[in-house]
Amino acid sequence: MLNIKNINKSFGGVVATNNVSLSFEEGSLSSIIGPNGAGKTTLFNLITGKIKPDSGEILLAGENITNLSPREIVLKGIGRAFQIANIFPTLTVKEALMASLASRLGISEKLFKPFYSKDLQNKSEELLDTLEMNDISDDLCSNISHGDQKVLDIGLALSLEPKVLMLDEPTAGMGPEERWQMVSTIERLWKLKNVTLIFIEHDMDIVFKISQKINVLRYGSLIASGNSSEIKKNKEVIDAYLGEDFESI
Amino acid sequence: MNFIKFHKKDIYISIISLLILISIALFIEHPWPRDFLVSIFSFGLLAMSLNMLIGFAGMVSFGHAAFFALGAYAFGLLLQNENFVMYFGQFSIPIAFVLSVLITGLYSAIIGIICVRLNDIYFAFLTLAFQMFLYSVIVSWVSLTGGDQGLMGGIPRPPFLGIDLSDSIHRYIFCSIIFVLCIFILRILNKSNFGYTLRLIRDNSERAEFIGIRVLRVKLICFVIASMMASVGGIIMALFTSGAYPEWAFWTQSGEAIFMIMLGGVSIFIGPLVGTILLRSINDIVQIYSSHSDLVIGIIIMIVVLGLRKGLVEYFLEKISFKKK
Repeated sequence: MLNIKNINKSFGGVVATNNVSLSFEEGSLSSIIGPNGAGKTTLFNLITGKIKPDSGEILLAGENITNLSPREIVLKGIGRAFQIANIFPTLTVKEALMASLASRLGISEKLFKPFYSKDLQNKSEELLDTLEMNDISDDLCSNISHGDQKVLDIGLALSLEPKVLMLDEPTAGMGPEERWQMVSTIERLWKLKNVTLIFIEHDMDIVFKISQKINVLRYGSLIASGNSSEIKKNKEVIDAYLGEDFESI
Repeated sequence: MNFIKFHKKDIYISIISLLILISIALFIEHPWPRDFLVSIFSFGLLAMSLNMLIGFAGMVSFGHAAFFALGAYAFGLLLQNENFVMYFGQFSIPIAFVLSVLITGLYSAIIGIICVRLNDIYFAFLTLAFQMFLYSVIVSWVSLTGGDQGLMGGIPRPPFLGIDLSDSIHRYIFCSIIFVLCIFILRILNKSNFGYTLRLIRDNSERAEFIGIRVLRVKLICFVIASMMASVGGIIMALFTSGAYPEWAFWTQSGEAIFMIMLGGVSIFIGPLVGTILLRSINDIVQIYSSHSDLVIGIIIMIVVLGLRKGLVEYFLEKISFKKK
């Protein structure tokens, strides 16, 4: 579904992404891990068009999307949620989803079409059901809990019906209970929507529990790629990231 | 049909407002209420259209009055052109009206393509720079604009469709209709898909782009519509004064529009209009007693901004909803 070929990106003298090649199969659930500064978010930014690579190619279902704008990449089918929940503070949860749905339907620039149309409301209510956020639909995005903001951020990406969904640290800043709730939400949505899901995560318990494939970055380079048991045994990964005393789950 | 159903309340409010405004002309002989209200129509449209940029889209422009002035000058200059009036005859006024709005739209689109790429203070100062550019052109191109004296010789107002705009009652009713129509259009835009897309951009333009919004294009459309609305305000003022003056293009005019918005409130649709009424009323009342109206207005603005930290309409609506709870 998504293929990254020999991608490179430097900022001044710092190599942020060094000749990374990766592939993500359709409908798979993969994670990207690595120490701070390994280039995980940079890789996300490169895939979603926020920054342009110095060289290399990114292919979505065989189509080259390397130098497209973020908007064009979104429309091609790559949705993204952000590390810091990136939402719309003065809109209600429902309004934010409705506005996002309007964008997918290509009606977001209609000057005289009433926003509160039945069609948009019905679609947003379906999405609220999927996200299990009906009870807070009329709350302002800025007033809901951090966890709900993260789910809404994923909901905004899902409203565009993406083929690939990319989540940057979906459990960042959450307590233990909230974390596992989020994990089950992610798994549920992944199965329900049948998307190719890629996520960045620091919590190894979560990574090893739900990832079908784990990709490990260090200093911008891919040092390992494989399933949980392969990664747990990989000497380079243990040295660079997991540590000798890492206990397998 | 759905459109009428959805905007039923706004249509009723518009019709009732228009009937009240017209009845003022029919039942009050003294010209003061009419003159006062025409100035409210004019500056109210300036403030309401500026709030489309500030309140809807989060684009704080310091140069919005340029479009107000451009509308007024374009309208005045077209009607002062004998060939234009001869060619279009009795339809000179409506055609000059539409052309002036379109000229302003075109000018704002050219400026907007450059300005909307910038954010925050850079956007504010670039719009200010373009306003002062227009001001300089108006002041220095004396043969065309009359320089700092303003457009001289009055603006011809040939009657059309039985409407004689040189008659103060006709003019007032005409301006009332245009004003209510413009506010209604702004209201529709506010509640439309486009209006909510502007809110997305105001709240978080980066995220808006990641849900597929063409941020620059939407900002440009907003900039052009707001400019065209401001030009209607300018045209109303030009009709009222039968002239156009360079101070309308001076930066203080944009500053006054920002004061109006701050006084009424940025987040309530009707806030800037209430701000306009308050500011013009305070100005008129203070001027009876003192020539230092700017000083008094300055103190009031400071009290509102520092004391309430929001507009008066926002403040009172919050008080009411708090009491209800």
